[in-house]
Amino acid sequence: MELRTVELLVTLTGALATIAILSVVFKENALYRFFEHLFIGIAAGYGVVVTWNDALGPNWYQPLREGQWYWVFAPLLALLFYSVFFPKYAWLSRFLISVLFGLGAGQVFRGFSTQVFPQVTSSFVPLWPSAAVSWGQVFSNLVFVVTLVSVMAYFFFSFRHGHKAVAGTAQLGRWLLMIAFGAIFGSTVMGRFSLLIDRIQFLLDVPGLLFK
Amino acid sequence: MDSLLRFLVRLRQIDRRVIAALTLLCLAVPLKVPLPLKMVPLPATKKLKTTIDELPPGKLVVITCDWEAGTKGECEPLTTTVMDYLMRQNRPFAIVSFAQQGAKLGQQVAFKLAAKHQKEYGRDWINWGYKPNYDKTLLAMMTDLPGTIKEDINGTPVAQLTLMQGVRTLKDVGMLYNVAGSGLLDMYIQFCSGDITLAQACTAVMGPERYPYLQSGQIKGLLVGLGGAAQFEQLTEFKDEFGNPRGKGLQRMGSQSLGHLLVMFLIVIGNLAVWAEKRVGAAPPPVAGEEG
Repeated sequence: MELRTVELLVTLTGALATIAILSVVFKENALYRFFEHLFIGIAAGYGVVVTWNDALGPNWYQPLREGQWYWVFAPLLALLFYSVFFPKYAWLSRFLISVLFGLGAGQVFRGFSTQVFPQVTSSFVPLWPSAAVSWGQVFSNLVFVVTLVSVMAYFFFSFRHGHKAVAGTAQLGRWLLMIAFGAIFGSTVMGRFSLLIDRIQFLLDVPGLLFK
Repeated sequence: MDSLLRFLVRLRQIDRRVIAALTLLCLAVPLKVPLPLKMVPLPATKKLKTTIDELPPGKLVVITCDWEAGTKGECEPLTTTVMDYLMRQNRPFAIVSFAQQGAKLGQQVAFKLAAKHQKEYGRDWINWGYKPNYDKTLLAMMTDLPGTIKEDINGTPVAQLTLMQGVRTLKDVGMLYNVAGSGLLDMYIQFCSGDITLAQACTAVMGPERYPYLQSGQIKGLLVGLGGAAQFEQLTEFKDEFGNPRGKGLQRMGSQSLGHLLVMFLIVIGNLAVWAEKRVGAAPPPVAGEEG
């Protein structure tokens, strides 16, 4: 098949699929359901092919074919996971699970320290102007510290927020959280619009692609 | 006054198809009739440009395309604008992906830009392809890069590529620019920050959560959503293949802005309608899907 024909077919299929998926806005319909299932099927099929080509093929099957016979044990070990379906042999799965738990725990510990500790040190910010720190920076730092303390106070559940100062700080934290959620909502709207704009632009470009 | 209140109450019953049509109109028209909008680059965007500019010449940049077709609308412009700038600056880069479709989608972007800037695969850029098991693979790349990657997307051993000379671990690269449409962003901070220069680009939904890492210096630049792409395009004077100063980011920000105005207008209308409903004592309309 010629390259141009393939390009036309791909464009037309893409346009049809986009319109079919967007048609659910008007009404739930058979065309929408067909393309929804088609999308799930293609994504699953693509996943299987990629997993074989990029993971199992080069890392397991290829070494096995080249004579590294011990790789034959890898799927046998992996099959132990399915022993959970047989109560008598379910204990076999615990060996694999405990190894993975150990690996995961070590990884999480390392990851937590790298991710969170610099956040703690960076929260110590100057609250007084100097040659290196402007009044504007001091104001930003104050907003940061007040937000940090009040939001932490809101999430402090170990005792009742009886004292007015604590209750007020927690209340301020609640309001600041609402502002943050508003910002996240705005960003989410932006994100969802971006995806729709991409599809609209594709549909608007289709005539140009077909008749170029 | 009463008739105005009743009119406002009726606004709450606007058919969702009318709202969908209005949205479509607001998003489609600016794509054909561009709005004269100017982006103001944020410090996070400027920081990314400075980080790239300060890289030693010839140092390899790694672009991780951890996005798939579902977030193409945001992640493709975020990938394109930085790849384009790297090519214009003659900075070599390697694509890698921990998302199944990412390597192919990133390669499509790179091929288009390579044709525009006359760049050659293997000399100016390479594609390491999709790598499964992201956390273990990334940790392995930090200690032995060629041994972990082994082959590029075409099956060529990476050790043979001139671009890989002197790159033994991920710590030897100039910068890692991570474009993600998923939650993989934290993984790079957990395993890479501190050892290598890390910059990130993410969908707008994840944007607000990334700023603390910028402030702490764990990442050296951040682009958030379509707005981030548009800012970087403006900052680096991006031009498309026809020489027009409009990348996909800038091109789409008009639609984005009109869309946001529509949402704000609808929020105000909705709130006014609820207020009017309480004033006239009308029963609220049935919830969609529960009619009858």
